[in-house]
Amino acid sequence: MKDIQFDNLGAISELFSYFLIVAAIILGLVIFYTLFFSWKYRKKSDQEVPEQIHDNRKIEYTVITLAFVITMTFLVFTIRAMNGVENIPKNSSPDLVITGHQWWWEAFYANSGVVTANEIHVPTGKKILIQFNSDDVIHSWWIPRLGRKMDLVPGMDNYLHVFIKDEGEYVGSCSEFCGAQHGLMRIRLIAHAPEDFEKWQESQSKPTVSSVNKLFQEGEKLFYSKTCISCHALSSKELTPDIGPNLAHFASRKYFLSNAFKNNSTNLEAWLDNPQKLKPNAKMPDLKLNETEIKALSFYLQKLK
Amino acid sequence: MSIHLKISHPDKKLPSLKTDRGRLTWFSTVDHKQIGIMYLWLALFFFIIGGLEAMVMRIQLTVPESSLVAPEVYNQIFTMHGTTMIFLALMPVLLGLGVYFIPLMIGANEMAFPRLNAFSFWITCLGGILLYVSFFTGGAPAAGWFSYAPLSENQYSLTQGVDYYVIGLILTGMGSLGTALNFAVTVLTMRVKQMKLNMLPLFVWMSFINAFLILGAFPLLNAGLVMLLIDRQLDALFFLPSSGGSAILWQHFFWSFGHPEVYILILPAFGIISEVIPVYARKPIFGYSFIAASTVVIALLSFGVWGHHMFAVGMSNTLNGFFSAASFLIAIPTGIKVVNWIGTLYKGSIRFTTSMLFALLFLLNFTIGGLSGVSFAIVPVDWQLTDTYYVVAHLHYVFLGGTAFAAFAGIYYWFPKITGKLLSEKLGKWHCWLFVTGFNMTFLLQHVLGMLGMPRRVYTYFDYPYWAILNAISTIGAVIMFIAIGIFLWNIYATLKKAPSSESNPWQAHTLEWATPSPPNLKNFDVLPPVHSRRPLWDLNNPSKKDKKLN
Repeated sequence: MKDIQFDNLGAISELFSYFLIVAAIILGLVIFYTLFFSWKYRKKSDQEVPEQIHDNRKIEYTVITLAFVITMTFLVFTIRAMNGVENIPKNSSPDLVITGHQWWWEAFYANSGVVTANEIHVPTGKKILIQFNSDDVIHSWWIPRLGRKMDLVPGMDNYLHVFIKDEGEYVGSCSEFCGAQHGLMRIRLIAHAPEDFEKWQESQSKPTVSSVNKLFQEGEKLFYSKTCISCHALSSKELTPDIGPNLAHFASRKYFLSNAFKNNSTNLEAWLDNPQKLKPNAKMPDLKLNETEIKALSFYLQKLK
Repeated sequence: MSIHLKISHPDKKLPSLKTDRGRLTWFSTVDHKQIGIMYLWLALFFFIIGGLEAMVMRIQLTVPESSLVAPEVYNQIFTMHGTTMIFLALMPVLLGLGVYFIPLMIGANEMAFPRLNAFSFWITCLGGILLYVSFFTGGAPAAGWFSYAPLSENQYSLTQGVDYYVIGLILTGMGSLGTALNFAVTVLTMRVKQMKLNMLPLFVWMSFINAFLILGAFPLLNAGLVMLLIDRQLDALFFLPSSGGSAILWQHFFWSFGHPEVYILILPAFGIISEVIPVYARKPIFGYSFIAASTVVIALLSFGVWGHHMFAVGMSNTLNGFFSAASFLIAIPTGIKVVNWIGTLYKGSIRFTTSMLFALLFLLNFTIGGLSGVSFAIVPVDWQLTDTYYVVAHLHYVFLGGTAFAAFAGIYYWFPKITGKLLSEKLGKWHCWLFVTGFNMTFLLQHVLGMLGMPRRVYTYFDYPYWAILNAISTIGAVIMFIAIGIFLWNIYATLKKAPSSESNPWQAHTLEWATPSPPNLKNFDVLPPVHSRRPLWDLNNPSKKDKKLN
């Protein structure tokens, strides 16, 4: 297996630009001849009877041959690029498992056992193998800047190699219609230098913080008594019942609700107050919390670094 | 007993809403012309409904993070828009023109099975009504016109919308099957004696080939739909992976119908273009045999390309390669047709009627749609662009820029045949130019939106660079199209109010449907001109420059 990274987006863009050039030439010819003939052979008089031309086999066969050559050339390029992009070894063990849910992403790091949701971190300069599957309906993973999308199909594992050179934030969105909130099912992938990624992974592996702060403890108590815990795990080593995202280290995430909203107390309180208003049809029930409970829970969640 | 109905008063005029008991005869009629007219009204009605649904979507998408339309409503609207336009607007307009004109163009007085004809129409109508009843039962289907499992299963689609979708489509599908069978048998058995198969007008030929496509494709859809219905109603597990079913199986059923369906919607449109261009260019169609043969090639290949809708589901590269090759190949016979239409213009005497304008603009728009379609055969490009607005743009260039432009060309061309009244050319040109402007404004830039990363079927979006402005332009374009359709409707209304005035063959057209009064009497033909070539009326009008004699 060759270890040189295949540049997905690069290969796709190159092929697409060849296509665009050929398509533009063909379209240009069609536009030119349609307009030119329409203008040149417009009706001159009512009595005019034009020459009755039935066909011209030479032109037909030339066009067929040309079309055949062009399309088959593209087929060869297509198959070459396809085999380059899709280069998944057999019996592969993935570095990262991403599971689609209505409407959030779950990420499981196979090597460290860390579980997180929505904000997914990867190291740069390393080829990582991602395994995709879905817990409910079909979703699709697509980050335009990284090239190619991959469907997350329930009952089926799909694999994709990702290689990121530059640090930074890569955004994308679910690209297969998956129900009411498909539109807000966004993807954020954070690429770190390998050392930073290790640091991030370590911090995620740590147990959640505790505090003697009164509000914090109140919030923690509410998290259990209001049954939040039955859907949301608080340990990053725990694969939860697949209903709600894992909330361990929730405060370390910049966004929440599948990356649709900034993770700040205003949004969080609005969400806890009336989930259906912020994200209609989400599975989060309205817990009928009063204002102090909302404040406490929000404070608690904001401290889960 | 003869299977053919006897027409008792052959000279009787077609009933209209104004003649006595006119209304009732429309319900009981088995006359192909009346059924054809009803198909056209049905198509127009649902075209307006589907268009209004499109306007709701465009208005919602005008600005980012708009909360005008709730997500579950938006999803119902886009599902209904797609389903309506494909099954209740485009299918009926193409089938309707076929039902009206195939017998007339082959010199027959009726379809082969008049009762089946009426049955097919009414069951299509019923299917459409049932689909819309869903709105009153708690919600229309909201799983997309493709209704992907498992999203369309009970757990994820709680309302009965999908059940209505399934039953509605099974019924309209039965209607399409009945009409297809009727087309095939009519063309094979009812042609005027002198007309050999290679003398068929191309619209008839394409509808004939199309009949076999329908007969092949719709059973696949109906099989899938029945399985989905069994899943939903009887708790079977065909498409539920959690219990051993397969989610991908549905996609194979749906697209093995769905891609032939694309050609089912474009072949008769090709047929219309192949009728309209020669008439207004005063020439025979260029390369008849190539257009006819390429239609057969398209029909055969169309059953082997469905996988290009599924390149992102994780099929093996062997399968991907096969579907890629087939999708490339099918571009060739399609391209040939465009070349031949342009060839027909060469050295013609071109009359720029509204119908001809629509046909010429069809050439340009459809070429864009055809070319962007080829980009999906390039598997890696498909991986990047599938399920984005690039696809939305592409499919509208095919269905709206292609099929609908051809349908408009056909309606402006045949309206005087059906009613005896010419649609206003002035209003028609306003309709045409506004529509093509609005159309390109709406959809051309959506290619770019797709490349920028905007996925399909989203009820709102965030303000990434250029997304807002491109979407706003798109909506303005949609409004222009909306106005254009308003002008079209006004044109129909105003023209229908006029007294019939046109001669029986106002365009000096070439084919047999014009060899009878406009509108035709209940019995189509008393006498027929001699048929020795593909253009019997041309021969009659130009005795010195007769067409090639073929019998």
